[in-house]
Amino acid sequence: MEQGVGVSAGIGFGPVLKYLRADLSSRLQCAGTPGQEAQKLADAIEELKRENVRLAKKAARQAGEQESGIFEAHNAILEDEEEVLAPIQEQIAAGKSAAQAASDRFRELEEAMGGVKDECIGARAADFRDLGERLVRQILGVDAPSLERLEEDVVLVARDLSPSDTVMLDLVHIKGLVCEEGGPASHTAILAKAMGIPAVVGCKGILARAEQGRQLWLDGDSGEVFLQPTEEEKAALQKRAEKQRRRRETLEVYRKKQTTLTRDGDCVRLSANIAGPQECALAVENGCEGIGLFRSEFLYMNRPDLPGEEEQFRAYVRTLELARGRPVTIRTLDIGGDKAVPAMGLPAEANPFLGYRAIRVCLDREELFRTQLRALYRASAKGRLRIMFPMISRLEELRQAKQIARQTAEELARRGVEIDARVQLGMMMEVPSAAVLADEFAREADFFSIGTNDLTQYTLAVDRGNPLVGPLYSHCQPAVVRLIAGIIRAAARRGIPCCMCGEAAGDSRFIPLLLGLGLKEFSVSSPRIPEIRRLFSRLDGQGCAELARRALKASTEQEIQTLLNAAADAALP
Amino acid sequence: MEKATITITNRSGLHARPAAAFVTEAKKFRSKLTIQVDGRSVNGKSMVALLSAGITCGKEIGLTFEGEDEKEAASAVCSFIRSGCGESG
Repeated sequence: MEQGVGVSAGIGFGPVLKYLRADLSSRLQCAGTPGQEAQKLADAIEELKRENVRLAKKAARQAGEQESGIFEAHNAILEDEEEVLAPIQEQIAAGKSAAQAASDRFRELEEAMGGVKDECIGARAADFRDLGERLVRQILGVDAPSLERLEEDVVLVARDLSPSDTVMLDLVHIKGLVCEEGGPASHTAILAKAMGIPAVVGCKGILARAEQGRQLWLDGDSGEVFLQPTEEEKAALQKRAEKQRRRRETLEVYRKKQTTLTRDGDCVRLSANIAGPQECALAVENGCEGIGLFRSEFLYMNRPDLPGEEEQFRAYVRTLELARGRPVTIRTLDIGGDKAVPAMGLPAEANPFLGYRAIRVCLDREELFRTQLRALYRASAKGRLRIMFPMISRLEELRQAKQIARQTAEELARRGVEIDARVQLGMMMEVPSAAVLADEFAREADFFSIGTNDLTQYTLAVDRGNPLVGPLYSHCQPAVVRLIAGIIRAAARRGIPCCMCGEAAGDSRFIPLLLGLGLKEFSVSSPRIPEIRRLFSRLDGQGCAELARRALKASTEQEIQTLLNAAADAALP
Repeated sequence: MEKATITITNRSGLHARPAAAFVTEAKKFRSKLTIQVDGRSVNGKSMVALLSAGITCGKEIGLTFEGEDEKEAASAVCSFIRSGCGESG
């Protein structure tokens, strides 16, 4: 058994397809005449440029603008006379083969870039390696093992996948992914998770040990990889896979339903949390009734630059289109705290969660905010968009954010841009000061969305990432429950919608209490939608209301836990 | 010879796509373009040189144009930078 880091859940198995960049070093040397080699180079570069144009289009479609920008940059490198073309041509004139000269030059460039201690430039060294390898293959006429159209199901085993690899993946036939390198935040991990492919990364030595075509099993939860499972291991894995399959089948009917009903026929809305357009398709596939939270900050993270208005516009339009008429709530930039954006160069802070983050950054750097709002309003004509401001802690912030949004909309309208002027402007309820003033906020916000992760940590003054105090963190604390109740009540009194998009909304033991408190919209990670929809079908409104009444009288977490456990037992089939 | 000093204002500076767009703009002209940044000079028509120069938002750079169309080149490239190197916002 090999151990890596599980980054995308599920059991995967199938014959190994090793994705190796062939070692071409032995073939680099044989050269024709300098004239022939120069022609080979020119042809290969032309062909590669054409391929990059094609990949840029495909990436824009599948993965968004950020990915497609990489291929445009690659083409600009291939057109660099001074640093790329001339040095290679000189070496060819001196008698080297085109492949050798190109390989040498790109290795030099990779090293030059790798030597610079800058996160952004480090990422570019990998670009030079990727591009250099592709150019050499093109010159030698060696096809990369194609991942675009596979004949049969496989488990892909690779060192790591570059952006040009991942954009070409055949998502239907790849049943699992094992990489030697990378961690939970790697490109591969994020993609695998979004696509629902079981994946293990950081599995050292797997390329050497795995055999092409031999059956391989992986568990994307535990990070275990089995090359030659014993009979017992195989039986246990089959059992795990079988359990998953049965669960999926029984849940299939709930996945296909377009509405969520309680046992006594009350209707709630079950929405999905997503981090980018590519996840929207998956959410719809999983049966979501809307997007309750689009975390727009993911458009800004893991990249050296900031997304421009056009790029954002396209990402939002794509999401609205993929949502096919379902309401989509996009949260404006929520960075700072634990979410870093390299291009913004925000200073390190002693108390980042109490510091310069989210709406505070946006109201301070208004152009950044306006750019996003322009992109949002321009997209608004393409579907049912709602805009949500994060981390509002005082009424002035909500007023200011709404005013900037309105000005942005008016400017666009004056320019004759088609926008939906009735886009609702709502806010996250995640800071205790806002929860306490929920009635006042309900008069001015078009909707609320309760963010229980921050609400819990701010209310209890507990950093849940700190192992010394983590166990004190719980949304079942009476103080948190009463704040949630107050928010839901305030929204109901004003007749504005109230959603919950924090982790508590997907906590199956907590859901009956939320329903009892009158919550009508729950936004969760989309693979969990079918099971949660089934849970609702077993809940009874009156019973939950009674549970809520009792929970609001509780004065300790223990009392609430006891109530929740009793309710969970009663809801079992 | 035409000289100009200008501050990079687009948010991501001369990285990736904006850098590619910058080089494309510079190459529309015959004049040689040299960029002075952080005390060194790099060829403004070379993508690799631009990437390794690390020209981030807020940096002030010097531009020197030399050639028959240096005036047109200077005015076009400067207004291209002012408009955000093809990057909106």
